[in-house]
Amino acid sequence: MVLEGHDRETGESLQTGGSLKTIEACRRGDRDAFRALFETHQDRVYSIALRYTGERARALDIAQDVFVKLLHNIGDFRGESGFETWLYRLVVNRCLDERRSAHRLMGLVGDLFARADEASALDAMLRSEMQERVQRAVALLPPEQRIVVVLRYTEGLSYDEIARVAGVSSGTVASRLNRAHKFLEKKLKRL
Amino acid sequence: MDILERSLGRVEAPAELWDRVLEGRTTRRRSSAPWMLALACAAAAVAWAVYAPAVKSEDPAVVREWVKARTGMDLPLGASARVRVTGARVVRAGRVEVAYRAGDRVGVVLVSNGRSHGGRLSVECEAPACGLCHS
Repeated sequence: MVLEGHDRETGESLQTGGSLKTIEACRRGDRDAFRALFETHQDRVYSIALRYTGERARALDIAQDVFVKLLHNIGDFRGESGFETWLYRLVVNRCLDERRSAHRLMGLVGDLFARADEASALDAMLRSEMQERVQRAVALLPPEQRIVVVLRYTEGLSYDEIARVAGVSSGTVASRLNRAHKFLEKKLKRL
Repeated sequence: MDILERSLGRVEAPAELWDRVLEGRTTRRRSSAPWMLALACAAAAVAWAVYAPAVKSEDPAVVREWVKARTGMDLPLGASARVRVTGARVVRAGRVEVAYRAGDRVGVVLVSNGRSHGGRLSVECEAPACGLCHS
């Protein structure tokens, strides 16, 4: 992944989040800095959205909204929590805001059109039976359990980290994961 | 659960995401209430019933060919278990309505060959303000 602008110049790594210099530059409207922030976090944001929704089109919508919101609201980031935690919250809140009624129809509209890039590695992977079944089973989970599963297995967050992002206790995270595991085990036991 | 780790891993974001972020920076989509969505789609269905489609076919290839012959737009219509193309109508140059059926529900989506999208096709609902559909 290529980092542009400030971080390449300063040698600072954004792998663990946004550097304060980059964030400050974003606040001043520095496009290169925002691009660097985007490059660093785009896969993370898109992956969470994709695993949560199970649909490429909806995941793109969510990721777009998150980065637009990030751009407009970056002044709200005070550094009290880590940048990644703050970003995760934006993604999680946007995922949970998805309206169920809109989901279905958007999915249908997406189905109406064959995707030009169906041969992409992502789609090929998603088409594999096992992964499709897992994704379908995850999609059946209630939103609060689903997002916890995604943060755990897509992002590899610890219970404490998920708790901070989701604004609940670690016990609640454990409980939601436990219920999700039981449900998924039942759904996926033949795999 | 190993299977979750294997199946839910991180993926690469599509290259178009950056362009969409830049577009969205100046024109953020309005959120829509579910009832607005239902209303817009119902209106689309009624409109479709009133204005007979110029081509009626459940074969996506037939509809695709028909649209291409009249507008030059190549719509990547495909077959799906959940939703079926039922026809199409040219609204005006560069703008086509595609009718579909999903279970008991019928609907229409507008497809534009918009210059504002860099020549890409843009799919939207009958009611532009519904915020449902995206390029």
